[in-house]
Amino acid sequence: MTLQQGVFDGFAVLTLGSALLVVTQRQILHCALWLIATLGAIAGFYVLLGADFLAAAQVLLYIGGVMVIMLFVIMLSHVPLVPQESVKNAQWLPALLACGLTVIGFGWTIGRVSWYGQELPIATNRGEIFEPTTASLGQLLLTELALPFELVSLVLVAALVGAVFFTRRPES
Amino acid sequence: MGIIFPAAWPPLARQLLVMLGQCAAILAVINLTVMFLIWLERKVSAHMQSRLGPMYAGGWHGWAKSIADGIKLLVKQDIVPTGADPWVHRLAPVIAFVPAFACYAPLPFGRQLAAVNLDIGILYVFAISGLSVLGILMAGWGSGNKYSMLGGLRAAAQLVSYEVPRVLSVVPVLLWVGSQNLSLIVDTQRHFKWFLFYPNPLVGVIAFLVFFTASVAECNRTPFDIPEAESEIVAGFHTEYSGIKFAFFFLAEYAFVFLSAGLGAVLFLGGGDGVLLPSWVWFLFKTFLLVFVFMWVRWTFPRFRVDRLLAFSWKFLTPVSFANIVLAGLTLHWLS
Repeated sequence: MTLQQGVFDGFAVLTLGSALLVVTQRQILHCALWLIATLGAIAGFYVLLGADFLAAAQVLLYIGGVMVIMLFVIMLSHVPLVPQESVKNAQWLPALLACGLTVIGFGWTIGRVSWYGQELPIATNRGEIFEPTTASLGQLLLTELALPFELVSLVLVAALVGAVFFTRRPES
Repeated sequence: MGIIFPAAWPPLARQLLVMLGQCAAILAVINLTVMFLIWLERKVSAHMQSRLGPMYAGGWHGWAKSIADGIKLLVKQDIVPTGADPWVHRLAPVIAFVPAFACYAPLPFGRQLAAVNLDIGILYVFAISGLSVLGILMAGWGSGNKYSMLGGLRAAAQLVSYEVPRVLSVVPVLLWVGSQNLSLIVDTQRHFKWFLFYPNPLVGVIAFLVFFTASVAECNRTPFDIPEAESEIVAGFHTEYSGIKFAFFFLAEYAFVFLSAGLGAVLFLGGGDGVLLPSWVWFLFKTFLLVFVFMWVRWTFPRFRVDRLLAFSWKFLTPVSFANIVLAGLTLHWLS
């Protein structure tokens, strides 16, 4: 087992373990905290793959942005400190079916691609450091992928305008 | 070196030892700096209010005050309130404290003096420093106290709001350098081509002022210290903390002050650029100058009101930074 494999396995256990705790914890704030651990471990995978920009963006946006807002909303909505009722509810069977189908779909797609035998580009013990990705990402986003990039920003603007519309106070 | 690193050791073990050594060095330097800053803050505030400040501990101008304070906090009783969520309460100071130190890794303390030469330097610092707000939120919620909770909520709203102009204010510098590498940013500014005034003084000064204001807010310092406003919510998110856990929050705050001042020096004041003296002396001089301005601001201005604080970020600083980015782009266009 190489070091790389060991680190990968560590992150995998961390991701899956914390993801499991997200759905089984009964205190909703604890769920959110475990979700932070999951997202952080995924950033670890990005680092392992040599995607430095993506890893930093994951931490900045998902943990520093999305999760902070989520914790903020949980704290605003009167959640008592003592654990809530059971995490199961009446719709557990349809939910299980939907999740099972998703897992099968993803598994089938992932299984069709040959992943093995490809070395990951990370440095192991000497000074060989992976290629920085920021410059090439920027080039791609402003040339080849300019249209999808702009479309995504259009979607975000629509979401922002929608949020402003719904929170607008009626004029008196 | 042969004794410390026997050649027979696997390279991985050696590399880990070097990394541990680097971490220990950063921790030691930052802790000493923070203790000095706490003493300095007491002295600066005292002299601004026509007092003398600490004069007793250690003899000369109370230089040992921070050491005495540190020992006091270490031996104090560690209390976890009955109504608290124990693990969230215990973990919160650690989560607030660790990012402050992790951020120092790519900071160049002089020419070729960064612990890690990171290509995504600035992005890394912004991403990691954003994590400490989680510690504040966890402290606010996990203490089981409504004042703590209010402090945590205020901290979240404030830090998320000011993160936006802080990141945007740096964009002109990135446009001019074409890289996020902090060492490269310092190298580009050699021979007094500091970004504060070099390609376009207007853009440079606006960017610096926005960055500095947002940094003061990110450090939770007066006039932006509403998460711990003692006149309204006791001590905010750290109301229920005592002893070493309180010390962690305190250390984190001052570590962020020094980091923000250092970043300001690196991004806008040429980092270690200067004449005669070695580069690290210039870096420390500029950084401590900015730290002094931080303290000056703190002991001069009164506290903002919550709603005005948020409006100031969203309705003033953010649009100004966007306009500044356009100006920086135009400057670049005219120059080329």
